[in-house]
Amino acid sequence: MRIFKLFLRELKHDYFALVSIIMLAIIFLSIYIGAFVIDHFYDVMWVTPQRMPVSPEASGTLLGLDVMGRNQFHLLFVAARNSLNIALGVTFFSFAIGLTVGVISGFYGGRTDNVLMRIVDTWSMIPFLMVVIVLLVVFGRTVPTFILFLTLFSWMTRARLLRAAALSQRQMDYISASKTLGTPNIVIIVREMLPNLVDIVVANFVLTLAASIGIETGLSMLGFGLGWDYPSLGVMLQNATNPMYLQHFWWVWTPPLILVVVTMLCVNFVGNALQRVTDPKQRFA
Amino acid sequence: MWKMILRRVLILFPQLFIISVITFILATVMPGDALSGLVDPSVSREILELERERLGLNDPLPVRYVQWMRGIILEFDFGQSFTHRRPVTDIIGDRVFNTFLLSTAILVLTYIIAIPLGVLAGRYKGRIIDKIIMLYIFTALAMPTLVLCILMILFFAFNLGWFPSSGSVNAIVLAGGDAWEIFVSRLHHLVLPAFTGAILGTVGIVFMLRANIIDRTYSEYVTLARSKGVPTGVIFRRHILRNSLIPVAAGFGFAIAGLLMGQFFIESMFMYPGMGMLFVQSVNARDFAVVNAIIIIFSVLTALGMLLSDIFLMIVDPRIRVE
Repeated sequence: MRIFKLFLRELKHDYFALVSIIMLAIIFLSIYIGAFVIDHFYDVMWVTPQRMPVSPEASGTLLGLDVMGRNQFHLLFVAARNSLNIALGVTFFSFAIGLTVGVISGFYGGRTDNVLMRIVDTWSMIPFLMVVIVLLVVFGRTVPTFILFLTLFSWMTRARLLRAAALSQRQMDYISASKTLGTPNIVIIVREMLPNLVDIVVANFVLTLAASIGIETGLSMLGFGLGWDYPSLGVMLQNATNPMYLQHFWWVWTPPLILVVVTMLCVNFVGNALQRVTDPKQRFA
Repeated sequence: MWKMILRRVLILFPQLFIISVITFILATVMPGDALSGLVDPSVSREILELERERLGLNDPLPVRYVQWMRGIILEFDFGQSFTHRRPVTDIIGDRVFNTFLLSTAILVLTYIIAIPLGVLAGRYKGRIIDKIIMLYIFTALAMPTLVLCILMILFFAFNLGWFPSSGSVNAIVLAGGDAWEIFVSRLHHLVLPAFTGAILGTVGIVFMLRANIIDRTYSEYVTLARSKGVPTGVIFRRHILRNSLIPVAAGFGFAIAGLLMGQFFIESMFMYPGMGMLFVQSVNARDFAVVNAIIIIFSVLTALGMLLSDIFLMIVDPRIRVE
């Protein structure tokens, strides 16, 4: 695929992106491998005095214990894996819907386009985070509902983006050539147009992934995400919303915070480099 | 042009209708009804059922929808709050001013910070200043809203003690101070949440402005102007900057929409008593009458913001009118 070849070339000029992709590889691998191993014993609880978190020095563990006496270091791996899974799920499904709607809208144009885009406009007027919160409270907070509701209200941006891309592809000669040959529309879309949209999808997939991690973290921190029995980075960060924890128990919230910020920073750098590859005008060099 | 604006305004009505239907469905899905805030456990089930019948709560959905809409449009009646035991309209009325104040402050600060940064980054693309600005943008982008709130509180409120970490006005000042002192106290409480919101809001605008400027720099009309011998500064100001600012200015309505959406994160972290915090409190108290009212108000405001953006774009950008 062209985009990856170009991306490798771009890495030579952009050291931020180079460092980011190496770090991301390390983070992703260690999280998934670590979580696979730790999954069986992360919820082992130690007895803690006065139901307070225990500092690393006092407990003799690397990152201390949380308020329930769980080893923070173990918890971190499982939490990061759960957060990444949710973010990947939301991003994947919202691209699936967005790509379908956007390509249909852009390829057929005319009335189909008009109707679909009005639906997208209307749908994006709803304050989606609020509605998602309400739906989560009413229907229960589990991983599938979380992914479902976030997907339902976040595919619109993707649809707009891919519609614009499909619109510009539609005017190109290769599409008209295919049409004059009598190729059915669906075949043109799948075989001719989609390969040309891969670049845009890949670049934006990465950027959307970062945004999804942010949304999951935000909702969980406010207490509308997953519960205590299902650790995620947002749930771990929820500790920091308590002023006492924020001031005195730094080891409870600093590690997940650093992990979230570093991961999102790296994902954004890589995503931006990918986007620059798809749009040569934006290059640094 | 007027025809296009009129057409755009007319689209608003079916959109508002669809939004109202969606929020109505949401309201029926939520537990509780108009009586849940008023009755106490001593009222028997039969009387409750009679009362329900009398109020029309057992009517078919379309009838109830019409009733509900009429209440909202004609009397501004969003029902009764279950926890506060007051009409929802009153409770929201108390908070509107704070939310308005905070969003205005965030919007103004966002544009004041974002436009110079975007212009500098686009003008000096690839230089050291561009790289510094992009590093700032990426760091801000990598911060989930609440994480940034926490860091701001920890650093400026707890460690340095420059600004209060919560509330919208000092209670002692509000009780005993004169108008000036109250004003200063409000401002003092506003600084931290407003800056936090602005830092997050700048990201998109700086990105867009920078990309636009770079795009225009390589356009044919700039090459033409350059070969004509127009000085670089004039080209930048007159040809590149003006065209690049149009989409940014038109994004105003979308900025409002995005702002409203993220408002409750900031308000609930800084304990700023606006509608966003009311929303979070009400969800936690399962006070769905208030929740639903806030969702409706925010959707309508978003719809109006987008309408404003589109109309503004039609007035400023002649290319859209021709279409």
